[in-house]
Amino acid sequence: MQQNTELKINQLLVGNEKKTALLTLHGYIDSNTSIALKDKLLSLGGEIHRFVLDFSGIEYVSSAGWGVILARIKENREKGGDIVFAKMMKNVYSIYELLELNKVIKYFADAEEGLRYFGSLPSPSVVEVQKVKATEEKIEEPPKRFTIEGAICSLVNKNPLLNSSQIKKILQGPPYAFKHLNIFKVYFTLRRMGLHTREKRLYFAWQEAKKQIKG
Amino acid sequence: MMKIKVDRLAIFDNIYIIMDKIEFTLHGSFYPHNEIRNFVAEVCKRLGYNSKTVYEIKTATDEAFTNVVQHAHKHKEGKIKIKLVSDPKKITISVKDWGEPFKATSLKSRSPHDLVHTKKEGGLGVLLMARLMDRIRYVRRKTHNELIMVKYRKEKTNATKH
Repeated sequence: MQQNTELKINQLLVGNEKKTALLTLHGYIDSNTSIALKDKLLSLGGEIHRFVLDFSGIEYVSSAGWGVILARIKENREKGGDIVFAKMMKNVYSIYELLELNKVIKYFADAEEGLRYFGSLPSPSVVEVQKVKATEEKIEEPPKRFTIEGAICSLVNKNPLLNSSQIKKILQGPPYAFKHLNIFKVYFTLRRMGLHTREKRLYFAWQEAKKQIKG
Repeated sequence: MMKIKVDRLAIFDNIYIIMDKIEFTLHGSFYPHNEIRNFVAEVCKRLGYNSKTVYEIKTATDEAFTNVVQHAHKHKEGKIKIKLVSDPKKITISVKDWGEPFKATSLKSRSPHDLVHTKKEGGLGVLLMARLMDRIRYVRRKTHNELIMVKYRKEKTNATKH
């Protein structure tokens, strides 16, 4: 059988205990490529029941594509989950409305909103509070000896919205003074720590904030 | 192997008639859905239809083609002929096959709610074609099936003159 290379599915597990799957789709979903999507939903379906399907890279969906998703919804809802859509191209969205799928499947403007619907991302108000706290607090003087990982944890905890370039600049300057730090070192360290995307840093900061509230 | 034959392109003042026959001999389970969609879309674009209408026509053609592959040919090798005929008022798409006859009732049209409750995947194609095209007719002749779909032009033509 022809390989379904015309549909790419990028998978990211997020949220509490990684129970929400963000599937970012690229290409088209027709009677040939829908098999790959069906296989992905089935393979994750044992553990995961909350799916956000990001359609931003999808140029075409046939009835086979819609059917594969619709057939999986009831099962996920019965287990307390759901399948939601995010960010469709105009033509794809017009078919979603034409088939009245908007009465059956929720749609969000982007993947972050879909993840928030499942409670898998901190709400904007939590992020805003953290940003305000980060600007108000003075930079603490770090202990004289510390590791890059420790410094990154501290920075991400204070401001999870910093990207790797911004983290590098802060670590190179006073008081951290990692003068020979380059962007690759920062990126691979973040990756090793599981903090290489904004979502993961937000989740990390949220977990730390929860611990502080409970503690 | 897919063969595309362009028989004739004739222009009469503002009437554009395109006689394109796309003949496919299907091998095994290889069905060039994407190539057919892109070809139909390209023809409709050159005929001056807007992008929304082009998308609707290419979707309906893909659905018709998929039905032939699944129901008339049962995913086996077979011959399918797709013809597009255009005039100033409309485009007519005919999908002809020499496969098994099928009853129109056997192609059930299901709503999205039905699919959610029954957990079945098929049935949206017929609904989609009916909503996208202005007219649909299925004809069973002695040796072949033919599905004829019509989409009326709603916008002024911006067709490319050859």
